[in-house]
Amino acid sequence: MSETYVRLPRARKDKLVTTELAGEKLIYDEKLDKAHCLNRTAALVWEHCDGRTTVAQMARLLEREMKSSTSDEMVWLALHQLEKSHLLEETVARPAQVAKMSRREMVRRLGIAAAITLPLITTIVAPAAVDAASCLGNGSPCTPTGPACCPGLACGLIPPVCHIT
Amino acid sequence: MRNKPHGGNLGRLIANTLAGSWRSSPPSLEISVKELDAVTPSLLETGAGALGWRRVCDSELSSSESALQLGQAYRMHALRAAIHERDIGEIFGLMRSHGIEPVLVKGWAIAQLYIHAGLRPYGDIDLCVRPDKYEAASALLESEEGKRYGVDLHRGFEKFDKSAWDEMWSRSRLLEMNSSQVRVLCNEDHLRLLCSHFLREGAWRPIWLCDIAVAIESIAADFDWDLCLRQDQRRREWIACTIALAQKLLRANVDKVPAEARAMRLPRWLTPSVLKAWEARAMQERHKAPVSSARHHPIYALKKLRHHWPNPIEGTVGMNGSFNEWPRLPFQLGNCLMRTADLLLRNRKTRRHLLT
Repeated sequence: MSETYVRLPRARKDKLVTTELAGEKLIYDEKLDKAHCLNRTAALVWEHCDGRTTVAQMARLLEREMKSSTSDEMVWLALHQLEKSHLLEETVARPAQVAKMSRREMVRRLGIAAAITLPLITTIVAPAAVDAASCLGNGSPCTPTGPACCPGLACGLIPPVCHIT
Repeated sequence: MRNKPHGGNLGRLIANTLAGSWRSSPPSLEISVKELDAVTPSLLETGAGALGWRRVCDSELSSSESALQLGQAYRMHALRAAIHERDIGEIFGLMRSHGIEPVLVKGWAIAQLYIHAGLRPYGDIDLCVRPDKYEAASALLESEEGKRYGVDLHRGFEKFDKSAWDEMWSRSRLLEMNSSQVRVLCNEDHLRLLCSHFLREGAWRPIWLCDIAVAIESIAADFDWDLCLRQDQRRREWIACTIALAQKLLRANVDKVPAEARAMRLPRWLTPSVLKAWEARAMQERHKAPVSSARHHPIYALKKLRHHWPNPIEGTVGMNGSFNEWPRLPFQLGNCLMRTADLLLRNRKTRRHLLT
């Protein structure tokens, strides 16, 4: 079967919390305790990972949605990133010529203007101070110098968890 | 862009950065990169990072390192909001299945008034339950099923308000949240609660004043100000002062506030106390080392003891004092002594309880 007619794998849905923010899709992976931010292209591909849509159909769909020229390679790049982020149920075997292609090469091929539509998945890392803003709940592991326990709780010594005072 | 030097007035800079940030079209922010760098750690620490991001996301500063951190905070808060919403739905379901109908205060109840829930992060889920259901609710939250939720459980509304449970309960309402219904206070009771909570906690988190600004600006035409302000004169004065603070520091639109409350003159010590509380971060330090932790970490607690000195706002409210021009030191001293006595009494009770 030609690569174009390869069907997209199914997206993983289990143990994921998702929300949308300003055109981005944010995903929290409860299993791996990781948070991802998918740009619009990556989000579109992930949403269509249903085991039925083909790579070629996806490329056409992207072209329509993004109003920009696109290619099968772009879909493959998205799939590669989704797989690396553990957001797919199944693994995908990328065609040899695509597997070798780096993101930089793709930018060169598509041109700078189209490059902004390239799929991108980034890991969301909370700035250190953000965690300090939230308090730790009852039973959460704690240290005297780490994030604080919620009001009404204190950090115990043995075991070192927040407990009701 | 102005290149005003950062003159150490971090509190005012925080206020400027957050002014109007909750609106669908926030006003443009004139701030230098240096100032943004100075204000960012405080915004992140106090949960106001996402609001800070809204002020800079369409400006030249949007690609600066600090702005990127604020943007990441917004994403993180948005995800946490989604997780919290799921948890709130589940905890309401769990409690209802045991015949307990809680009322959610602060947290999601205020976050849903913002244009996006991710703008208003909250660490725990504050639930108030009927006083006679408190023990059952507490046991449920300590069970295997309930302990995974970060719930801060309250016996009635006594921690927040003077009104009786039945009275506030009768006015509470159900709001739709995804596929569940969440019980919250009526808008009048909630605004009063937000104001007294802000003051009682020493006004240390700027986002609490943003909450009050958002609540005031979202007031509907049928909002009953008499109901909101009908408690004693002192509490009316406190609420009016808090609303005046939101207007003064965050430029909240107070057109819908009655003239009587708008006419409130702020005592001279109040605004500097709020700005100092925002700047000093003393309360963050206090939460890291509650006095009760002295039993387990005495040296660490002793080092942090100075952070337990109440600020003028906390002292005044704790002593049920008036917001007048009199010196605040007696209130602060009184509050400190009262808290120490309360702690000793609680420790004695705990010890007696353990021995019996």
